[in-house]
Parts: sequence; C-alpha cells; structure tokens
Amino acid sequence: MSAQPAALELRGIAHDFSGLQVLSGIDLTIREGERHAIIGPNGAGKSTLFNIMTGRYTPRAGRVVYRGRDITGASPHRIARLGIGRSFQIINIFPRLTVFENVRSAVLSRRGRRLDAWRRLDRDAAIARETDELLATLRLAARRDTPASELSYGEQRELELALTVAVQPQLVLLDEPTAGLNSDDTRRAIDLIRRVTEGRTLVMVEHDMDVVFTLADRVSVIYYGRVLATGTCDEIRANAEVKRAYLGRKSSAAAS
Amino acid sequence: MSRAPWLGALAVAALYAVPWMLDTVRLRMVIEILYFGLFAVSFNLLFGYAGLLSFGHAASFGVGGYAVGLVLKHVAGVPLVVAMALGALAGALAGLLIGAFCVRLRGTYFALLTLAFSQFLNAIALKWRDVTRGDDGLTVAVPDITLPGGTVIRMASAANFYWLALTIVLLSLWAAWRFTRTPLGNAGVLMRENDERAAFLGYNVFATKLIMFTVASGFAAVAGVLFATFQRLISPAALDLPIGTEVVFMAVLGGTGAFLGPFLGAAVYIVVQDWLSKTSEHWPFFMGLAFVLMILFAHTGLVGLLGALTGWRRGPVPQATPARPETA
Repeated sequence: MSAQPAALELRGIAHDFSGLQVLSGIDLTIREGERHAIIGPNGAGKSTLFNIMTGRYTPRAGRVVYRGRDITGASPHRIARLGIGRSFQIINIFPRLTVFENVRSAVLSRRGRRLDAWRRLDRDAAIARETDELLATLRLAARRDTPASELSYGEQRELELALTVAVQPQLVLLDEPTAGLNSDDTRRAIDLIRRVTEGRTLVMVEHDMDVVFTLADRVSVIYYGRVLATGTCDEIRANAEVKRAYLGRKSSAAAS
Repeated sequence: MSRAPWLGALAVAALYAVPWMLDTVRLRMVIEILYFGLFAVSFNLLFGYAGLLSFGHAASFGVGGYAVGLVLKHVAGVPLVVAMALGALAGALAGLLIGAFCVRLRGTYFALLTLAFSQFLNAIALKWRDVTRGDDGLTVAVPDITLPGGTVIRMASAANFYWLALTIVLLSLWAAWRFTRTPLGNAGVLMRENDERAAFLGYNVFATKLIMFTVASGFAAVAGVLFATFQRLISPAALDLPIGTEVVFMAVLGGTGAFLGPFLGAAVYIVVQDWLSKTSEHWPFFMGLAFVLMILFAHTGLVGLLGALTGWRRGPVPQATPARPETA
C-alpha cells in the first residue's frame, strides 16, 4: 500500500472566511486506489477542504497537487475534466429533469459532448444505452422517467452518487454520502459506494463511524483546521489523542 | 415537431396559402405576428430554457434592424437576403459582446445589466445622428429579389414579403427547435436547473451561457431584420424598453414551458392589442390587467390553460423541457 503513488496531495493548505481561520496548514496525501475517510467534528473544516480540492474555493495558502499536476485554484469544470468527481452533502441535482436526463447529462460530459450543437440527443442510441446501463446498476432504474424532485430522499442521495460516478472519475470525493439515511438505506449506500468506486480512489467525509470503519482503508482526523492523525482504522481507533478529541465523544453520542 | 409528418406538411401548406385568404391589412398583421413570434421564441431560449431573464432582449432585435438598414443603404447592389444574413450576424455578434459581460451575473443583476446595455444602444441610436438619423429613424430601402433565372420578385407586394418572412421564420424556428434537442441545448437547460452542479460535472458555465445568449441574440436579430425590412424604417424605439418588456409579456402569456408557447403568446398579444386599440383608448390598461391575471392564476400561460382545458398532458418527458415557473 505504501508503495502506491500519491493521487492527491495537499500541501500546507490554509483558508479563512473573512478572518475566521478554518484550515491552518493541512498536509494530506491520498494514495492511488485507496479509500480514505476524513472525519472530524462539525466545523472542523472538512467541507471547506473538499471545496478547495474541487475548485470551489482557492485556498489562502498551500497547494493542491493531483497526480503531479498543480490544480490549486483551477475552476471546478477544469478539475472535473481531469477526472475528479464529487458529490455534495446537501443534495445537488437537476430537480426538474428526470432521473434519466440527470444521469445522461453526466454521461454527455464524460464523452466530451458538452457543446455538441448538431446531433439530436433523442436519437442518440449510444448515449441512451450508456445511461440506461448505468441506471440498471442502481435501484433508480425503475424511476427512470420520474423528475428528480419527486424522488424520495434516499433515492435522491442515490442519484447524487450516480451523477458523481457517471463521469467515471479516477478520484471520487463523497461529502457525507449517507447523511440523513436510515440504517437500511445506509447499508445499501455502503454496498453501492463499494461497487461504483471499485478500481478508483475514494475520499469521503463521513460522520457515521460504522460507515467509515466499514469502507475506509485509511482515516484522517481533522480537528480545528489541522490533521490530528492519519492511519488505518485500527490505528485511528487506538490513537489516544483522537479518542480524547473526537472519537470517545462521538461514539458515546452515537450509542445514545 | 408534430406527431404525424403529413399533418405538419399540411399546416405549412396552409401557412403558405394565407395571402389568398386574407386582405392586405390582415396579412400585414400576420407578418407582424411572424417576426414577433420568432422574437418571443428567441427570448424564451434564454428565459425558459437557460433560465436567464433578460430585459434587454431588444438590443439584438434593434441591432439586427439597424444593421440590415445600414447594409442596404451603404452597400450598392447587395442582394436582400445577403443584407438580412449580415443583419442577423451583427445581432449575434452584439449578443456575444453583451453576453460576455452579463452572463457572469445572476438573477436581478443579470436582468439589470442586459437592460442597461439595450438602453445604452438606444442612446447611441438617438445621438449618433450621422449614421442612424436619430429620432427620425433610418429609412430602409428594400430591393427586389432577382432569382438566378432572372425572375424578379417584387418586395413592394405584401404577399411576396409574407412568403419571404414565412420561409425565414419557419427555417429559424426549425433551427432553434433542433438546437434545443442537442447536447448543447441540454447544457443550456442544466444552466437553468443547477449551473453549479453542471460545473462540477465538467460543464463550462460561462461558455455555455454565453453561447445560449449569442444564439438567442442571433434569432432575435433575424426578427429585428424582418421588422426593419417590413416597416421600411428602423428607429431607436426598436432598442427601447417597451419592446424589451413586450417580448417578456408575449412569452409569459403564451407559456414558457413549451417551445411554441411564446409564438402563440405573440399572436394572441398582437390580435388582442389590435382589437382593443380599436375598441378603447385605454387598451394598455386591459393588456396590463390581463398580464397580472395570467401571472397570478395561469402562470403556465395559454399553453398551460389549453392543456388544463383539454385534459391533454405530457407523457414521460423525453427531453429537457423549458421552465415551468415556480411558486414560492
């Protein structure tokens, strides 16, 4: 595992919002092919870190390096085209388009057909086939022609994930993919995430420790804008500092 | 566009037969409906499809009109169709330049900046008298069309102008409709639905919106070209706010949720306005009242009303559809 090259490197990332320091010197290496979970209490800066990795924010200091290429401050669509796909903590889909149209939009992007102004979309069998094949691997196939806004919350979460993986990113960033799901849906989500990220590098922000310890190869704990620890699940569980700062409290809260 | 191709063909044939069915006064009204209908459809490419509400859509309409007028005036012997194409191109170019400033903005700021640009062009048309003839407007001399065989089609005839306008408008509508069915047209709808998510899927939001703006401007300019060559006059009013808001009204009246909704809106608007203005001098009051009632009680427009009355509903949506307004 340690022989794996770095997929994504964060070097000294610092960020603040009008003076409020959110991240103060994050160094983190995501290895090629690993499943890496980022945990930490609310307000620790996890989502900000995600937004910096995917180009929504430009960090005040530090570099983001993807496969040896500096992508610090690049625009979201450029970063997406390099093979980094992300999902969102708050459902972020195309509400009035159908499930099929949602996913097809991602398929079109992957195929570089974003600005194709000539070929008729409704007559494009190849695009439709690829979209339907993707839907068939999900529960969403039965809801193909339903507007996304009419899906249940759990189904919208699945669509969120489907959009993210439909562009076939090499690096998948999932921001709390099981947020708000019940235990059945969470189990299904874990299974789904495992399937669709097969052979890809995965970084996920997650609060649910069961999900983290089931899915992740390695875990990083972020605490007040710094990386408190990075290690395997066992190492993190055994880490006294992590226990004191985060895990102890969190697991007792989760148990209640 | 229609379920049965022969039905469409029949409709087109009927449209070409209109000059034999109507007197000149009515025919002139139908010509007006043609170009305002196209104008409203072009507006809806921005508003209904891409979710960009422009109050300055008159800018490209007017630029198209002035451009065709200036080309016909200063280029000796230029064929009418070439001058018209140049007018459309000028309008699209104006759209490209204006759009480059506007599409980075959202909502109200976008709407206000488009309005500012159309008012800016209106001021230029008023003040640059040497070129535009200012208030008086620019007289547009429309040459006859000479076909390759030597046949001359006289443009003084309203019927001939109608056939030319009908052909141009039908081709434009077909091109615009087809455009909405391509991946790029779909990308336009993504801009309306959730441009941020689109960006994270790899779509360039600025480029996509700018292309939508330019394409919509181009079609608006085609309408402006027909307006100027039909009226034989183009004045600063073509770039002014009343035209820019009239087109919003037409689109909403007809329904922004269907491709041809705005065209229907333009037709009804022009017919009703003609009738009301003969009946009452207070016709703007009644038009305004109708607009308020439409927004409050029938915001899906006439298309939505027709759908509700006939029980006709869309089946599974095979393609991204234009906007249905949301209630807060």
